[in-house]
Amino acid sequence: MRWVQSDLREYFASKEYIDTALVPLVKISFSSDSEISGNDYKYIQLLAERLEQQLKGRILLLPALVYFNSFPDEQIKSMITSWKEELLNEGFRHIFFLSTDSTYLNIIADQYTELLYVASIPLTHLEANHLQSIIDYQIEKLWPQIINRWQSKDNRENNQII
Amino acid sequence: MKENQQEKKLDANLPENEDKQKITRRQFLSYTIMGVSGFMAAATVMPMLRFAIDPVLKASASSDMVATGLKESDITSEPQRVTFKFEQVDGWYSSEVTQTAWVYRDDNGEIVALSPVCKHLGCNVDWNTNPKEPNRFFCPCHNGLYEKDGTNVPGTPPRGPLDRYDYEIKDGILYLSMRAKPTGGM
Repeated sequence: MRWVQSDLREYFASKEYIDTALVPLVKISFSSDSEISGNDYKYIQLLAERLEQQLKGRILLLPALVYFNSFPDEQIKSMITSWKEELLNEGFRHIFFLSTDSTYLNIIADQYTELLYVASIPLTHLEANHLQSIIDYQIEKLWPQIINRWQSKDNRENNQII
Repeated sequence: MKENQQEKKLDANLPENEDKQKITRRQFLSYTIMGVSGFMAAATVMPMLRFAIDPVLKASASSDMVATGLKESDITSEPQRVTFKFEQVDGWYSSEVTQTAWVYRDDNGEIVALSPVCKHLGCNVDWNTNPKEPNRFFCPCHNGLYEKDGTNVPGTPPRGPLDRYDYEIKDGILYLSMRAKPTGGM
């Protein structure tokens, strides 16, 4: 589900099935590496949309969590923490952050939350079909991370029932 | 007649034309007018005719069919994933849509093209990926299951069978409809 009206209506109608939040984590930079940050933003956005498309029924894709690279580390960490808390309070059982930046891995990873880290790739000169195959290749690698987490949780719950 | 006299005079002035076929000014003008008005009439009538017989000329639904790049001979009894693309225009914004289908031949040799979109909440199903449920379509989101023919397995979340694409074979290539259609159920 995406953060648009029609999907949100469906989300609230079948909330018990959609227990996973996907949050793109995006860095904005106005210094020399601003081009890279633009490139990475596009890449993350494409990946997030493709993931959402394939796992629509269990994932809610949120608008990105954006931070400036000039923010102090503590501020970024507290932003991530409060997003996590907020989403858990909303009833999500799994939270995935999607980013090309692994700096905040430690603050993200825990029992409910996982960082889907992807290495940044320059997209500028790629033709459309190459871009698509790169995205699909990357999705194939992210897929198990998500599915495994779901399955281990589903199994835990089934065992509890038995 | 005064005009005839004038024409005779004109002819008299041009003796070299005498043995050729003569066209009078009157004839020339009437031919010209007939020609021009013929074109004008055609310009108004032809489009109307074209509209009137348009349904006959329209290629039978094949304009909505998209080539997949899969050869008919490569379709086996094992479902395989096929992707195909087409341009979709929304107002002034044109975008490329990629669709996926699971294609196989059933026991009667009929081609079946199933939509991968789970009827529960829209995840993409996969063929034969759950080791506990061989030869079924499996939805990873909520463990939905479908038989090979797309029928949902009772007791799993989906409440209807997978949608199907229309297909046709042209020059040995599989063509699929842009959108899959529900097969009933629910």
